[in-house]
Amino acid sequence: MKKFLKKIFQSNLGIKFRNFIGFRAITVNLKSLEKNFSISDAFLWRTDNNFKTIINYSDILKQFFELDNSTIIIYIFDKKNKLLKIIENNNPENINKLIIEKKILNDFEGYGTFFIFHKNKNRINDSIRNSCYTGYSKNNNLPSFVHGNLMGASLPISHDNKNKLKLGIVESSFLKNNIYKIQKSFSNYDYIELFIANPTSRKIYFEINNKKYDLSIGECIIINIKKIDTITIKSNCFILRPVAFVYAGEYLDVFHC
Amino acid sequence: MNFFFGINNKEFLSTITIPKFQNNSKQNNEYKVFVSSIIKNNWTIEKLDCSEDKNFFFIDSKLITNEKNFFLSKEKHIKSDGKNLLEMVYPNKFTDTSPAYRASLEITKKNGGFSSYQSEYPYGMINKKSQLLSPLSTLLDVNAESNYLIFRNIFCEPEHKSFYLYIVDIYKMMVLKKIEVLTNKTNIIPIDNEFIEKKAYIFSDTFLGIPIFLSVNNGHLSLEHTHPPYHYILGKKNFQLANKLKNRIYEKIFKKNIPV
Repeated sequence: MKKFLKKIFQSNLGIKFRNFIGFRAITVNLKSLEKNFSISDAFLWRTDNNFKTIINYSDILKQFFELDNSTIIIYIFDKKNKLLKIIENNNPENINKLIIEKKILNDFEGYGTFFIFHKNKNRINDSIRNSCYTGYSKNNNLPSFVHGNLMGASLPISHDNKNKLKLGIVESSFLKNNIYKIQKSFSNYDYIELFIANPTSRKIYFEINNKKYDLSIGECIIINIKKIDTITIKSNCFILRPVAFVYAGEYLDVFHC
Repeated sequence: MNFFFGINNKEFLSTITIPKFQNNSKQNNEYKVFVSSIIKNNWTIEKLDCSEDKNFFFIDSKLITNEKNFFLSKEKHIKSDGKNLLEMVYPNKFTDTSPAYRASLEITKKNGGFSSYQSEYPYGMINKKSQLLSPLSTLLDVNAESNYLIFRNIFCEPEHKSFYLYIVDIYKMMVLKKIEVLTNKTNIIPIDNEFIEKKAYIFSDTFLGIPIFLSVNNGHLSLEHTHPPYHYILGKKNFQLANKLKNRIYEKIFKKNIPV
């Protein structure tokens, strides 16, 4: 009986129930993604306000598993989760660069998320995470780089699986009672932009310093905040970590929170 | 528990802002900032007199050297007669959080811009020796005026021990440059453009550390650290696979005995 209950407790359904009621919650559920999955962080790209986005990513399957002939696929979505473009790199080097600027998106000016996945004909007994480096250059100035910080979507690695991108890695709760207070003082900046993507497979609800927002599956938002000292996010998402763009005078800095 | 550190250099000023609250917003005002430094081959730990408000401790650039470590602790958790940092600092639970308890390390260029990252040096790393591997070109910019590798090591023993970082070519499996660095120090290393290439990686075969990359152009700065290799693998075999990659490079480069 004890074994049976333990099995139910640790099953996907059990985890969903635990998360729903907030009892011994699992914040990131990789249970069905343990083998042969390519998992991507939810990355921001932006072409608004004279920004371009520089992406430096590596061939993880070659580096760690010595697999040749991988294809690295980049899915680019707009802020409302509309797929704008799929870019395939069929001949990846150990380190690769992609620049997202207006001209590669048919002059689209805006922002959204992108995900990077690694495909190979061979199956592997582990899963990998692309958490690469993105630089944000405004007015062609030096890009400010950040690494990925929040898993957002998955795709099977080998071709024998269904090739379907699945959004949502982070789990959510029924109540909006998860608090994330950014451990950073923002008081020295003129203004702040916070980029937040929905990393779950559900609609999320959140408050930033008591102002309410929501994001449907796959959606993201850049929130403008004027002079403030600290930022607290209260949500039904277990981990909601933004990327911050902070401005002082003519200078910009980007960092993950 | 984590340590925090700064960068001291003629071109840049750095400041460290340590939060008094966990990222779930719980606050404990019993924790104060302490600074550890090595004097005559012994660790000295003192309470730091720095400015503060209700949310943060602010460590000004004047209080920062490349050798000091900062951390939050209760006074009673410091044992002054210990021989190494592990014996002297009790690893408190308050700064043991997920995501990690971080301070903000911000650098400012004199008459220029600024850049920061949410930094920490995990307590669990300070007694470990292992190999380190990081690409150079993912965070440095070949078009920038100047590029730096900022390599911070904190090791529990009270010494500034010399060791080498190697810039290696992973295509030809050879050493391109040998750089002498010290333990318990923020080592600031200018990187020439010839090394900002896909083939070039930083490798250490002895001490661990945090490799941070700084580019400077027209007053603008970019500061960020790379992930350790195990971060790219999910599951229980992540360290094993990362070590396999590092060992493969080590075997091919260093066992061949190529002159540097």
